[in-house]
Amino acid sequence: MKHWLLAGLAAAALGVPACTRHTVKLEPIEIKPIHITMDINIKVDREVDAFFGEVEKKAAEKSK
Amino acid sequence: MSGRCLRAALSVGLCAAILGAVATVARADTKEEIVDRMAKRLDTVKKHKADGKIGETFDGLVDAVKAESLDDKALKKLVDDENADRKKFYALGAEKLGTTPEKFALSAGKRTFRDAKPNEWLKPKDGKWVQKKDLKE
Repeated sequence: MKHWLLAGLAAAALGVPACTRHTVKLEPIEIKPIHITMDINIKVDREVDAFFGEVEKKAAEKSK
Repeated sequence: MSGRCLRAALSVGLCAAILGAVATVARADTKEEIVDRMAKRLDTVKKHKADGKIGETFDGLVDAVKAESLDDKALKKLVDDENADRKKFYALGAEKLGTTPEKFALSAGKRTFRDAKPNEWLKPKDGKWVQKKDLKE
């Protein structure tokens, strides 16, 4: 009798997880845009280069 | 014209003149105007740099290598005018790109340091003047 009880309990213990469903959600890792900081620095450098280039060019035109 | 009308007309004219003058002063310089002024000054700036009287600073400005050089009023005016125009450009550029004038100033400083000739003087962040050829990167 005891054996049947234990067997029944074991079956129930094994059976319960089988009735449930587990899912693990894996969200994609989002890397925040570091390139925005680099992008603004590049734009600033280009703007500065362009400006001083214009000054040089205009000075050369005036000296002709 | 009666005296009263004449006085009124003169008052209106004077007010218009004052408002016009204020408007002219208040208007911000355009980039083209700044470029134009700096271009006119460039040869003189280059000459004084070659003579070792002025140099470039890490924050995109020019300064006298020796403070007593600024006793020369013409040199002082050159330095002041050049720096005023550079600061105006940094402010304009910063507004255009949505960043700070300091970013522009530091970028300009890097550029002028990079393009400096070996005998030209540079003032890095530590405040000590050094010639380009002796600058430690």
